[in-house]
Amino acid sequence: MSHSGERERWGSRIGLILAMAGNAVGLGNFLRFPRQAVMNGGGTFMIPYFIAFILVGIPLMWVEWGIGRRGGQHGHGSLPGQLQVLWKHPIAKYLGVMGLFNTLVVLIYYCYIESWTLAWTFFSVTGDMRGLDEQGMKQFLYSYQNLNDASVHATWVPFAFFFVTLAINFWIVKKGVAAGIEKLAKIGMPILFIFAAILVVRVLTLGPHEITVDGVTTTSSPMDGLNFMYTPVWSALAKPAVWLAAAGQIFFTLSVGMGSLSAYASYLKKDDDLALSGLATAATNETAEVVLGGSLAIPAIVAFFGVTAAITIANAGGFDLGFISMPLVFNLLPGGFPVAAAAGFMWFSLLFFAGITSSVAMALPALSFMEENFGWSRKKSVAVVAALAIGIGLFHIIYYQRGFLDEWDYWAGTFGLVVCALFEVIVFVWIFGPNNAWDEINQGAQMRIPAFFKFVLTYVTPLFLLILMGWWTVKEAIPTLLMTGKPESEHLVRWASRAVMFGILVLELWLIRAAWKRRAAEGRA
Amino acid sequence: MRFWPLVFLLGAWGFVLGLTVWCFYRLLTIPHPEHEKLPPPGTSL
Repeated sequence: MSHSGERERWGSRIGLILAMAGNAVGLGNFLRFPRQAVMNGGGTFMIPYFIAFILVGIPLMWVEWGIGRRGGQHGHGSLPGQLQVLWKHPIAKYLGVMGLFNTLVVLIYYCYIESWTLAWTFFSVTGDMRGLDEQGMKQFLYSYQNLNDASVHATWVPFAFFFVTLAINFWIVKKGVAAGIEKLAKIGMPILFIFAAILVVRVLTLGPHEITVDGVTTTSSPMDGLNFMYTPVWSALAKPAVWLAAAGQIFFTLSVGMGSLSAYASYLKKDDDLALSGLATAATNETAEVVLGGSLAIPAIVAFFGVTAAITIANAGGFDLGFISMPLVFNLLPGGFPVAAAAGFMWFSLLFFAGITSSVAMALPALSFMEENFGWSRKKSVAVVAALAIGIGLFHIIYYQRGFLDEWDYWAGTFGLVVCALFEVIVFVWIFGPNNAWDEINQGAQMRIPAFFKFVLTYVTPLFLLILMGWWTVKEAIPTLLMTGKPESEHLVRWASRAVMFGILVLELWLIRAAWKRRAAEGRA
Repeated sequence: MRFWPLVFLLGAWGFVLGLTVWCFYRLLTIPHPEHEKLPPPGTSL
């Protein structure tokens, strides 16, 4: 990986696609998508969702692959250098800071969430959640998240799982692209799909259950859950918020605008196909999301608790859905503890694999940047980034209840993605040029990309991104910035959280400046 | 399942599964350009 040596390459094509798909498939496929569908028009949500997939998702997937592959030919594995290759203006590399910022910031808090899935995999088989009712299950999660509440978990437990999760992540990236990340994808992705498929079959073959609400007893089945999820609400199509929610979901699910897809693509060769491979990656992610993610949580919860309860649970958030309701469902499955343990093990380990195949991708840009620009060894870059992740990650554990993580999730994990994607599209399509961008995407292509995608890439995708950014700025960014509706007691922690994030951004800008000075001194700029 | 939910479910599943199967079919059946460029056995490079 050093700038003086040959760049590492993917070991096989299927390994590359599994790694890319693993990068895209994350916790959101199983926890966020079902909620978004239910809350935004049910079946009709699929219409704006697939339109956004075609007009934003697939084009951005090709844009990131194109930026990465071209940057990789010039020895750049992270966005600052990759954008500089496309646009010689000095500002280009600074725009690329978003690819370092988003990935590093999200990596740190994402690993904390990922550590919950590892912990719950462990708790599923040890029987810690055996026989818990709804209140008990809530207490089980909230005690883990709140260090002041040691009613269930000792204070050291969340720290221990976080450290183990980080250790696994950095152990894998230290082994390299082919021997570490690709191998993880080849093992993790089949396990994820097999476990999810087993759970989908089990959920959809559940019989009807009697549910009593306010003294009225009715029956409910998984099919009622699918009916609930896919019933069209035609009026939803007239709401801009539904269209933007669909576009947002496409963004999150495909991991575009992060900077990690282009990092992976930088290990391609010049004539390696990216058109078909990028499309295969997007399609694999959609299968995991729509077919598997959409058939698990909501149908299972409706089968046991009914539609009304499912709405309440969906409104409470994805974590409640995954970490409270699903273990409750598993406890109610016929077969007793062994079945509950097996189902819990499969559910949380598939979430863990969904998480870790994404988080290792987020670690890569920062490592590549330090190695390629400052000549660091992989060992040194892993040690420094891991130390940073541990140090800052502690704040997420300690101040989770007071909004520390929420701030990062919004500014880097939501808003930052659109900003980064907009920079990527502007530089790759408008500045590098629509014809050059089109040629780059078609270089080595093993499928004929319909010509209308050139128009989509040039006009529709940037316009979509601008509208999305404008909408989010007005509807979310300003209220989030002003902490509207947030309790006064959280304000200090939230400002501290922003200060740390801002510090990371400034540090990365400074490192970019130092890197190019060094490159100039070495005659590599 | 009721009619419209079934239509939307089958439409969504059909689209993503169809796209995925088509992509992987092509990936597995089209030879990689690198292999196509290899000279015939016995040809000097």
